[in-house]
Amino acid sequence: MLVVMTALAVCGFSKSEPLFNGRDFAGWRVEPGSWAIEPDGVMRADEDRIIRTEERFGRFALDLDLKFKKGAKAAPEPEATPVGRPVPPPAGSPASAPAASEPASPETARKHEGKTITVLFMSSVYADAARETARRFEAATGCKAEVVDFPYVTLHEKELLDIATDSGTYDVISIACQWDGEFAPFMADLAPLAERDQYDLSDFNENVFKNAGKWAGKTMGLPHANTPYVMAYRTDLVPEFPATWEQYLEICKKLTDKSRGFYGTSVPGLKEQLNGVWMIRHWSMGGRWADENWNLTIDSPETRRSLEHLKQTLEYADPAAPAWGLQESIAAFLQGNAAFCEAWPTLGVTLDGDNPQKSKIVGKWALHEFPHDKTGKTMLSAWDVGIPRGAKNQGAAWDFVRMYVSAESQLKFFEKFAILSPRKSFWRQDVVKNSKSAPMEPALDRAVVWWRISAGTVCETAVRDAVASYATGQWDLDKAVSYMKTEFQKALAANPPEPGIKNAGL
Amino acid sequence: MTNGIARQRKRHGAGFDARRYASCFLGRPARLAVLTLTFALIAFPFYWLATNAFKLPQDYFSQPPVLFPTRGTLQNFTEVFTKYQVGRGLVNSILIASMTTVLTLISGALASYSLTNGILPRRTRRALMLWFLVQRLYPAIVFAVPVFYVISRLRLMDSIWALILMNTSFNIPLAILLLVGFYQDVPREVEEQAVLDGCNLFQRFFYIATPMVAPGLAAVGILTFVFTWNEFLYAAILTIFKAKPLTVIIAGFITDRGLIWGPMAAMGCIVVVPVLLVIWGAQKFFISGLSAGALKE
Amino acid sequence: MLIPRQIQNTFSDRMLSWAFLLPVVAILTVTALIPLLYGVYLSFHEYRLNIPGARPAFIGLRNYASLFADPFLRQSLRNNLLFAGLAVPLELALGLTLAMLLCDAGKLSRMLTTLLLIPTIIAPVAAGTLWRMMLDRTYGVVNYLATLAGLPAVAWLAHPFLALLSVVMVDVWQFTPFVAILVLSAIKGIPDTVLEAACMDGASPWQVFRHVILPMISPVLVIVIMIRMIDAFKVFDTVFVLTQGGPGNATEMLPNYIYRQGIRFFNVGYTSALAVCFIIAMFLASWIFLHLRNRMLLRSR
Repeated sequence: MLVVMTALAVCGFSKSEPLFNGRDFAGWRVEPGSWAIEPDGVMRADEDRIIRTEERFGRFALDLDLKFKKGAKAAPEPEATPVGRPVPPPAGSPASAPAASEPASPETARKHEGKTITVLFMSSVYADAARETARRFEAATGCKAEVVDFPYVTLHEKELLDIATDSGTYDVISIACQWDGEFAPFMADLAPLAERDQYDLSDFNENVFKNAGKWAGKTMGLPHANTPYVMAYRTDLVPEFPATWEQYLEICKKLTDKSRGFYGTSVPGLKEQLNGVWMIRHWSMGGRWADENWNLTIDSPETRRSLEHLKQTLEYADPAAPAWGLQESIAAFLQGNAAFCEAWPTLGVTLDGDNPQKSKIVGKWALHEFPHDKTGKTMLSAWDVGIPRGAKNQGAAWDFVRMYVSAESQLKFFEKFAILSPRKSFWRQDVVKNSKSAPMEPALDRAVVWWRISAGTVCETAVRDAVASYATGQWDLDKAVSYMKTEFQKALAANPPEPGIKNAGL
Repeated sequence: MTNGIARQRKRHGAGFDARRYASCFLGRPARLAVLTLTFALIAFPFYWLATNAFKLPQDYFSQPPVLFPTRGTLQNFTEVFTKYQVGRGLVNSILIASMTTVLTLISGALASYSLTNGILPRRTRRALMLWFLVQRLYPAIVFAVPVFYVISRLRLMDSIWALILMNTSFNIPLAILLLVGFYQDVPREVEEQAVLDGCNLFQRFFYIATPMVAPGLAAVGILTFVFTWNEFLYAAILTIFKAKPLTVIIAGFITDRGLIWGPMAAMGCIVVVPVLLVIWGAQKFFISGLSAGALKE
Repeated sequence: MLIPRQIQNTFSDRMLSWAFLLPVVAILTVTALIPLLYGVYLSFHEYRLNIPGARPAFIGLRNYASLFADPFLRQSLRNNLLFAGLAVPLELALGLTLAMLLCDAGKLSRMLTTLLLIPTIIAPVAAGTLWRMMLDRTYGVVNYLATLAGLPAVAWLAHPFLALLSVVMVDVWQFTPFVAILVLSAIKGIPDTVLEAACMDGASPWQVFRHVILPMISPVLVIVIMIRMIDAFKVFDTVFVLTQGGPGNATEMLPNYIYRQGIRFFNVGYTSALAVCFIIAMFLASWIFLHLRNRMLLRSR
């Protein structure tokens, strides 16, 4: 990455003062060999390197002229760091020794001293990441961030009950992207804030941002995590990954050996997971819930084919699978009892797959997109973080949000918790490119979410019930399909999408 | 006289125990077998819970399960207190249960005394008794949403006072039904004597009647404490994080974190043991309370 | 039966009588009466909390009409009835047997009675957690013991019917002791003289049970059945923790359904209609039971 930079600086409000004299690094602190000065008076670095001014500034406006060489993909990020903290090295570069801390200057330190904000994230990795951020946040701004978490099953109602009554309990909440439409009216619009602070939103993957954070022209949240639904498989047992769902079943059938307790695939059969397992089949076979104008297309051959396929798949999975959550199905795969794993891999496989203490298949697994079949579409699980309308500390909340989604935080989260970031720059880091998570990047552009409108929750629950009842043999195929259709109709009638909103998903 | 009685007389001498006789209505060996089976069925799960709480991870994930562990650790308990904020949950549970008990006893005793000994129009008395009877009927879930609304308007969300209030309201009907029976057992002469001595209603209540129904109060108190300690539904709806009692914490284990058995078993022990201790000392009161509820309907 | 004694009718006593009632009435009004009335009011309205700026809209009896057209409600009702129909008779039979076996005053009986208290007092949530661990197909001890006895290891919580049976089993485990304690108290209430007279007349133990004890405790049995029946329709904690309503919808119960409509979907109007119907049904059921019991009491006099 080649970046060429010329710097002129404007500081203070009344007078402007050049920071760079065009000849040497007077007034700058720079590592020897990292930055050089071109003959035409331009500062240049060949890779990510920090360069710092000697002087410290309080409130300032910085004027920067940038010249890009062809092929450059990112811009330098001017960072205003609270005084007294070592500036962390930019992502991807070898860790350089932090600068010696300076005595704190009264103006920049501790912006939100003494305040407390409450932030809400989903349990386990996202909440843990929030706690990690809260520590840094408190050190940087003096504001304490209390992290509350709920498991996914109860998260939706806890969040909605609170913000729908504008009770102001939370200052920052993390929203699953499929709830965006329902939550949007109660959330603050972040676009004006981003514009005011000149916060760059272009680094977020467009497809993800469109599906998580943007709704009806409003930016209700910034995407902070995304996972396309992919599967894990045993590289030693499956030499060629199946391209259609039929081939997938063939391989499962061949490999299943019930006497040894080995099954073709490991499926999380709990209601709230099984619906996802069905949806990806449905979509990749070309099915859709409704067309663009919300006319239902759920009663279709693809629906029936995908439902039957799901039921057949369960025959090649452990008989206890219908009671399995994600942890159990991942554990079965890690213990070497299945050739495929249809559970979301980021919640266990990528983290522990190569850990000999927890996995018996070290080095024998990889991730792959689901069988492409007709469309290759898969499900996107994404979370966006935003500020409720009734939040009491919007300023501190906005700072917390930005810290959580900052490039360096996101890289840290990947290293510690295997959370994947929606930032484009993230996927370019070596540590990500060379990890086992790399196959997920192309899937991000093909991933979709089911209906994000208010009626979506009811519809998703109807799908859950129909799929689980059919798969466990309690309902027949016709009943399951007609149930879904009726419930969709009822939900859309009771909670119609706002005029002008088209069905952009499925 | 029949053989049966003669046999009994021979075995026990003069004191014939009719109950003992009746209790063998299925035959003596069957009785012993059934009782042993019952003992095993009740005791074994708790044995299992207790051992699991002290097992090492290798042991509780092992196949086949380790029935008689030879090694143990306190790690599950420490983890539960540090990582899952069980300390705070324990404090919340204790506070909620005890405050509810106190509130229920005070308001219940006052109301019961007034119903038995006070001067009230007959219609009012009957209406109130009917109301308390009906209150017990419906399941708590049916008014979760209106209650949520009321509580959040009163700005009481995530405070233990909301739970104390709700639990008191759940327990008052039963408390009154029981205490009315107990107050009625106080002999009328005692009350009349107090009146002659110039006591008004309050003095009779406070100095005479209530000390006499103290065992009844104990029974009601224990019942209230146990029911409140075990309450889950409203605790889950009305708390966020500061006021979470133990029952909500233990339920949180099942949903997302998969089966982390060590801490789960430790949590199970923590939820169960305090109530066991309370009951152990006062089982007579507990039983009398339970049965009074059924017998005096 | 409440026989009031109005010993002294002074002004201060009258005032105090009303004052004593105040705390209870205040608490119940705020926490029970107002939500009840609000709920009834809402049941005639369409009101969804998740629509911003929503206001209740009057729709008359439409909510009640939708109750009949709801397939999921029928399923939950079916499950609940099945559950009650299995659990309550089992608890009654087993509890009665236990109570009879423990009705003497021996040491063994006293010890076991104390032991019976334990399952009764633990939180249903804790019991559900405990049994979830024990019924796990791979790591659970129940399957292990079954294989030791030569029986096959079963996927308790993964098969629809077995899951329902598991819920029944846990409920029976937890509440049979409760039933036993209640019945035991009733048996202990029978005067010694009656029992001795029966034995004197040459009756075998079984006959004593069948013709003396059983009729005398039948009013209590009716009450116990009523309590357990009503509780069977309130079961929420155990199902929530044991199966979450799965697999499929094999263990979805009515309280779970109301929770889902009210708290998950914020369909407040419909939930209130459900709630009102529920209460009316419970009211009718207990009225029937009480009537039955009173008739029995009259007969035994």
